[in-house]
Amino acid sequence: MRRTSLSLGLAALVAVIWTLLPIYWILKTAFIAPVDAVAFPAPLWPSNPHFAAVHNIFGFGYTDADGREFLPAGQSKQVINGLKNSVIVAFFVTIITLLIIVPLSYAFARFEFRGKTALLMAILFSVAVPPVSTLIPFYILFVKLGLTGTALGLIIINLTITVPFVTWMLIGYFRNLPAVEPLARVDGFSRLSTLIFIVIPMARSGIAVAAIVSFLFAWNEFVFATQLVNGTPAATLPTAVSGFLFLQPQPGLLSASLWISIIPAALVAFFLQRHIAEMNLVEPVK
Amino acid sequence: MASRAEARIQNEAKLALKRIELSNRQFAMLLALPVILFLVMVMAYPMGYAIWLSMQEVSFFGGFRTSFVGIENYREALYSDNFWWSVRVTVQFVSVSVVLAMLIGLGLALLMHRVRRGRALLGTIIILPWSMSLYGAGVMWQYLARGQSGVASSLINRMLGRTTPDTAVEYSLISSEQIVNLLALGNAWNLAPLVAFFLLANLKTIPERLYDLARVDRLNIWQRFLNVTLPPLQYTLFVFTTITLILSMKLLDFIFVMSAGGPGDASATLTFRLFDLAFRQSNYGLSAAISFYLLFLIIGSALALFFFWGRRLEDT
Amino acid sequence: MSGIEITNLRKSFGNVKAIEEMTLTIPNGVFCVILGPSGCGKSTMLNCVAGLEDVTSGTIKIGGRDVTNLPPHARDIAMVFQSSLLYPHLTALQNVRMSLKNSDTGAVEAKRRIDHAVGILEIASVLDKKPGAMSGGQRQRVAMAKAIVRNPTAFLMDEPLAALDAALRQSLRPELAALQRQLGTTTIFVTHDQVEAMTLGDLIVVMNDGRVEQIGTPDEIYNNPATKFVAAFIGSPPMNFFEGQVEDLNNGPALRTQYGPIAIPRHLFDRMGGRAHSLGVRPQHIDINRTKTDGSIPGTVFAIENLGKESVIILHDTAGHDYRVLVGPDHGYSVGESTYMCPDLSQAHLF
Ligand SMILES: Nc1ncnc2c1ncn2[C@@H]1O[C@H](COP(=O)(O)OP(=O)(O)OP(=O)(O)O)[C@@H](O)[C@H]1O
Ligand SMILES: [Mg+2]
Repeated sequence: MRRTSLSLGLAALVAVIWTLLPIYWILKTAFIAPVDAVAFPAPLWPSNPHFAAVHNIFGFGYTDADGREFLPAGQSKQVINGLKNSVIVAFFVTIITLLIIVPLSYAFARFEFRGKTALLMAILFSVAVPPVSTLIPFYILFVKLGLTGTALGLIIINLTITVPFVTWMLIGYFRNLPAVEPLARVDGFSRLSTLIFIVIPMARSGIAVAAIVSFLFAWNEFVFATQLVNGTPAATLPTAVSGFLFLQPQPGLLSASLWISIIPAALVAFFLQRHIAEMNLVEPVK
Repeated sequence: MASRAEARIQNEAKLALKRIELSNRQFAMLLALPVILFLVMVMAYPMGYAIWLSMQEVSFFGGFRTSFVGIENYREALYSDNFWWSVRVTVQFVSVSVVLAMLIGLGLALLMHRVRRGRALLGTIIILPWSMSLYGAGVMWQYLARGQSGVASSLINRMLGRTTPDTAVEYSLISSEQIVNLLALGNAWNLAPLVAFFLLANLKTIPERLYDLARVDRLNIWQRFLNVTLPPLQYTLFVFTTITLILSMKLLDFIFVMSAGGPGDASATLTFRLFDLAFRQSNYGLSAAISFYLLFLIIGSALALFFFWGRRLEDT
Repeated sequence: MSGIEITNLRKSFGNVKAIEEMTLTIPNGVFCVILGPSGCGKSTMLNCVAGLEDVTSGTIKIGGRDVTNLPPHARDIAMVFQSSLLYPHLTALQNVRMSLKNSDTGAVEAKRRIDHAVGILEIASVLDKKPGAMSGGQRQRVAMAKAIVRNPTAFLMDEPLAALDAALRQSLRPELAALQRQLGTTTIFVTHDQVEAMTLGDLIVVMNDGRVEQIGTPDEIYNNPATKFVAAFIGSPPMNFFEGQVEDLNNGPALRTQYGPIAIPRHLFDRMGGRAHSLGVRPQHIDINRTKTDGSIPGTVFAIENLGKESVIILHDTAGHDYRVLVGPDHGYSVGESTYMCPDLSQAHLF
């Protein structure tokens, strides 16, 4: 018994190091004085925590204990603006995705109708299409429609990814829920009110996972954003952060801006892990 | 008199019934219709456009002009060494990614299943990489692997006691030979949590009794894993092998940020190649043609997985 | 006033005939059990009465009102589903409330009915629990409470006890019967368990393959089975059948078997005539002896099941057919012995 719990602890340690090392390695840089941040070899941890980068990234100056002054980062406006845009885009993508996929995956899971297989195939197919292949057509279309550089354009394009992927996830989930529809009919619910008042509350775990997955996707999306909104007022956080990517002298700022983009994702991940463990996809394959 | 009133009530009820009680098919179509339209709009249009584009030669002299060249772009791709190199890189990247992601995911799932204390904390930590953006992951892995800022230089030099810049030596994990494997490792880092959590959900459904049975039959750990744990996971494993395969084939942001196809074109996967062709070289036609080769590769390998693995699961 | 009247009900799914033809009248307040093997159409029939399935043809009246085309909620029924299905995400109380949510019952009246149901079924302690945290028996009670707050004209129950263990089922059965008697509500109860049917039902409908085999009280069903199917399906251990040809011989009617003729009482023969080809006798109506007597049938003891108060001796004839005979505890037989069966012909049935 002792030995198993020891090896279990060891395994957990390995898992934690494996998971956290890449994150830690860059995030520590936010708390290292800018001079030391570019030191070679890089320090293993911030021995003298220093808070210049986390101030500068939000547009505040900082004077440290030695009296050195650090000016606000030139990109702080972009970062803050990017944060705002990311929140807007992720919020709407999540809401619209849910409005579309909940009824859709419910219909797929519970009803037989003509053309169901073909539709399922179409959805699966669109999961398989690489975003880079649709990037140019969308870019050209969006130029014509005046949607480049707008949050709306970005929301639409995010939906093309979230809708098929999450639908596919939820279908399996809905199939595994108990068939309470006859019960609801005897209780006087129409099909639509069964969906709204019974099935949705019953499926909240799965729907929460779907929401979180959509949110994370939109929050983190990079390829479309660089092409469609980079350098415009609608730029999202990832594109703003990419502005630091090749500014080697200031890894502290890069690190600080990564903190900003990671914290919401990590919070969301905390909720995700509580719900996702209930998402058993296994079902008798038909 | 009474019967006529009754008949009227019946009639009204029938009408009400007609109004609210759609047939299953009508109701399903009602729910699915908006999405069908959406799918047509967002899938059919760009796909159609991409097909058209793949048969054009685009030139920029005096504005955007195109001329029809038929299958020329498709032919050009097949005769290009760059294309075949990218196919090779893609295949290697994807196979290493899938194997690593599934193994690590399975390991993490088994770990989370066994751990009792601190489960929520462990779960939160384990899922972190998946909640991270791929561009963020790219930045992190690049920072971690490079000689200048990397963890290898830091640890080795510290162990050797070389702490000043002039005595320290750079140890970079990035090299032409290993970059694809390193990318795959980073990709697996990102994907494994997803695999792990769905496997965990599945593991929870295996009845404890089966493990008691295994104990009675005196199976060792390995036999128990093969005979008790693994069989019920098969369907989930198949599904997620397919998903990690597709996601890895589609992957661009991580590669774009971490290695930008380099060093040289050592890690130029198909996705990177066609991005580069379109947005750096403005060779839209060729890029579109290659994107269809990529699509065939994705669908073809997913179907192959289904035929050799998934279909057998259905039979049992 | 009549409870439930089903006239010429037919129901097919595509070309599968789930119910071929069914006519059934259940008087008001009667507990009617639908009994039959798996797949015989019991659930389909109940769903048609509930309005969950549209009928292919025929009419259904509940409380004298033609409800054939009404949706479930307008039929004034309450239903308890297989394994006492409840909404898994709602507490017991919320589940019960759902029954009244879409009706025009006022808040005060609703509360009164719920309190009443909670009292009768003694579920006050589980009201805040979700189904996942309740025992099978508690779920069943909550499902019952959910049904009775509707004050319906009829209860429809589809194997509500099926998922429970034997002991619990045994203790819930009399409670259910008592509750129904107390409320006096017409009830249709579907089961494939004959003990459940015999103990609960005022009226039993035996179904097979989408058809009604017999309708009657438990007594009638047991003592006067109308068909061989009913005879074989009801009773435990099951009835024995001797196969052969019925003929009117010079010394009276008899079943001609490979072991010689078995004489048949005249009144049985008059009812069935020469069409019959099997003689059914319940295990307690067969005597066995070690010596051959007139009209006895040889059989070898194959197995003996000791039930404590009595034993079941299972015999094989030369063709390998099973026969079961009920004997007292000190019968003295052992496996492998050759014996002779003497059926009590006054208690026999012809089919
Ligand atoms: N929706 C349906 N579509 C097609 N066939 C059906 C459908 N529902 C039931 N059937 C068929 O109708 C027949 C009767 O089914 P039903 O569910 O009424 O049986 P049952 O007597 O309730 O059985 P059990 O004891 O197993 O519940 C079966 O042959 C079944 O396959
Ligand atoms: Mg049934």
